Amino acid sequence: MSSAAPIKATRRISHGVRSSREDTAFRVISYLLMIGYAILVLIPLLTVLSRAISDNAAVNAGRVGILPVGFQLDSIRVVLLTGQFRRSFLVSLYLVVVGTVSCLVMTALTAYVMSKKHLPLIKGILILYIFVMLFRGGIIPDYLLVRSLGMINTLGSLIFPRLIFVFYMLILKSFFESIPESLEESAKLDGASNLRILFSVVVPVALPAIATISLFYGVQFWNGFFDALLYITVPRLKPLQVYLREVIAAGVGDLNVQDLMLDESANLSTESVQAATVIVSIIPMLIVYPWIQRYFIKGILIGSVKG
Amino acid sequence: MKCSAKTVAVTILLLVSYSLFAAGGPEGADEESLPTLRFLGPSASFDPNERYEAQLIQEITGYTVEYEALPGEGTAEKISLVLASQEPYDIISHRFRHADDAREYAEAGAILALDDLIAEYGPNVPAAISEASLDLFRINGTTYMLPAAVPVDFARWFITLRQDWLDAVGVDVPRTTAEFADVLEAFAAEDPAGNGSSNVPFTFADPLGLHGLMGAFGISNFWNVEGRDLVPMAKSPGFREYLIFMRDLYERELIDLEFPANTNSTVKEKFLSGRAGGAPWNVYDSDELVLDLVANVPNAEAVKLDAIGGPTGESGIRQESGYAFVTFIPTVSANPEHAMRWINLKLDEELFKTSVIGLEGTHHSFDGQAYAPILPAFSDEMGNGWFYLTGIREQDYGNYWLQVRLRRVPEMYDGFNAVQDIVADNYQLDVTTLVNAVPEFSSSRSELEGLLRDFATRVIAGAEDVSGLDALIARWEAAGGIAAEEALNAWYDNQ
Repeated sequence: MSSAAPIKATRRISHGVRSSREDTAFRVISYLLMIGYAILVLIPLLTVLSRAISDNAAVNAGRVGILPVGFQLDSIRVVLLTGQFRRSFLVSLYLVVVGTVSCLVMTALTAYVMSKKHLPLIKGILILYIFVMLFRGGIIPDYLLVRSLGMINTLGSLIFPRLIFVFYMLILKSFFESIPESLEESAKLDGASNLRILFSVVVPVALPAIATISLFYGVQFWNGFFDALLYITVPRLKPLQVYLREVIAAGVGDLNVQDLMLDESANLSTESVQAATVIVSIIPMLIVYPWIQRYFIKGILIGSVKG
Repeated sequence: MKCSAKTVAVTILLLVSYSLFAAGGPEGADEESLPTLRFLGPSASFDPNERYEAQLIQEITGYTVEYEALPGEGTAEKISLVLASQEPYDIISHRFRHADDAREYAEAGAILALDDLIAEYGPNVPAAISEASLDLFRINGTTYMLPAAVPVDFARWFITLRQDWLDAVGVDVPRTTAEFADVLEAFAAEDPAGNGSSNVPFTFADPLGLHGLMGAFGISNFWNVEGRDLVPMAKSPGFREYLIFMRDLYERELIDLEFPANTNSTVKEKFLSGRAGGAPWNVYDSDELVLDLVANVPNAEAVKLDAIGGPTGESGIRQESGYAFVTFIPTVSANPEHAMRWINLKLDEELFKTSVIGLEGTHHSFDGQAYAPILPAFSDEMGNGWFYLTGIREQDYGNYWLQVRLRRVPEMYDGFNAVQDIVADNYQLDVTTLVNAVPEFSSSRSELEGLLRDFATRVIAGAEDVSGLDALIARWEAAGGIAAEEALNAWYDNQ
């Protein structure tokens, strides 16, 4: 690929030249800042982790910081054994896999067509897309639409209205535009159909961009909360984030007379169970991120180096 | 056009997986002639369809019900959406606290007037729910909602002190404000736990949440009954005296100097970790007070205080009453008669008992006098029974709740009863928990309480002098206080 060559060249040069004192200072400061930032991000995570594996009495007494007090794994076991947690986990997993693949297919198809500027009316259609990116109908029209499509209380309601995120489509479109026309022409000469060209030539070349966008979509589906709040009332279809909210909300805040009557308090999850739920639910994202990261770095450059 | 096998496979896979989760609505009526009802209940972190309670209720009523749960956030908006979009639920249960909360739905015709249905299909309803309760929730004289009253009137917040600290400094449990101050002084001077600089004689977060202490100044509630009048806390002479008393404690460093920054959980942390000698406590957390305190501080012991007496011998502690939730039938319900029949069946004396405390011998026992839960069967199988309530038998629920449901956590049961016993003679009912349809009060309530709370915090912490009280009262009146006072008193006169 053309972009790889110059990067290598620069690296060679930088190795050859002895770095000046300013360079060293810059590097030291950068590293310190980065390490500091990483610590800032890590501390809350570690705090939650140590609450998840600490004795609940110690958590309630505020004695648990970054290090756990009174090690136990019961809370995590409780979470993993909770039927609703496992169900919600699977629902979210399903949304991520099916949702992301669906979104990618639709986004790539649209972006590919939009990148062909010679097509008639293409500019006008693009403006329509941009219009809906900037202006939305709002919650109530959305709800009525989903309802009249018969999708209330289906997982489709969480996927179909979000099939194309226009901004990602634009990113992909500009990436497609940067692919030399000659590449496609040669495929066409070999007798490839349009779809064949898209999936066998254009998509592989655009892999970094697609990986990046799939990560965005994946995270979006995993963190999806509000749509489910609107469209899902059937407990078995609740995604993980909604379940998390319910577990944690039940445990905080001033309980009032109504709650006392409903005697939910005996069902309240303890602080360490709440923390354990959070920990278990972020594990998939922690696994996926480093794996996609190598594409991510390339993909994020899209748009900055064009042509 | 050539499509690779992969493309086809992916497409098929997607289509199949869409259909996998596509079915969501009711699956039609069951074999019997009874229709399947759709019930939309409060938010829950479990699947109510899979619980034993659902099976039990199906067995005793004969109705198959599909349970769905409201979200824990944006609940009111969700209900509006559901009603506006005419989603055909048969029964909705929600925590509307006042008739006013549902007035718009009733006036827009989104929820059914229930009077005819009750007359025809709901003979148990008037037997279970008192006329007074029904009337409180009537809108323009029509019944739209079945309110569920709280099972017992109770005091929520009490003050706890460390008994072992009291023993160490050699003083008795304080009964008056003067003794209370002396105890804190001893806690501060002698530091019985050896906490050093982190020693806090008494911690709290909300300066107006110390009901058992404020009762000594005649201000257990934001609105206190004096003669035939409801007097707002701001205008009670006790308010000024309370602030002066607390300011003095603060200046002598006898109460938590960090109280303006405290939250309920930091208060708990300070007390449970052994740094604080006393704190306000929620009856709800009675189990933690016993279990977690000892887990963190071996040999620690907490004592629950009765309402503290004031210089004039006055004392009191806030007692709450009110309604927990309401049940209603949307106009678009496909089976309003069956919905009412189902509600009616569950209000039958025997069926209600079974749906709330399970089966005798399996989930609860009865010794001729009182009920008791059989654990762990009751917790495992009936623990989430609250979700399924669609109204309560007011004459029975208090007993079931106190004797069985609350006793699932023995420490909570003991703590709850201990507190109620200790303060029984000093209850000051917060009559505003029974207020309905006084919009002048409900619309400005949180703002008015916030004004007082901010002022109290500033005075106690020394940021403002108590002489600013007159200016505060003026601001309070301008913020809707006058209107609230007049409307509340007009309402109270009619009680």
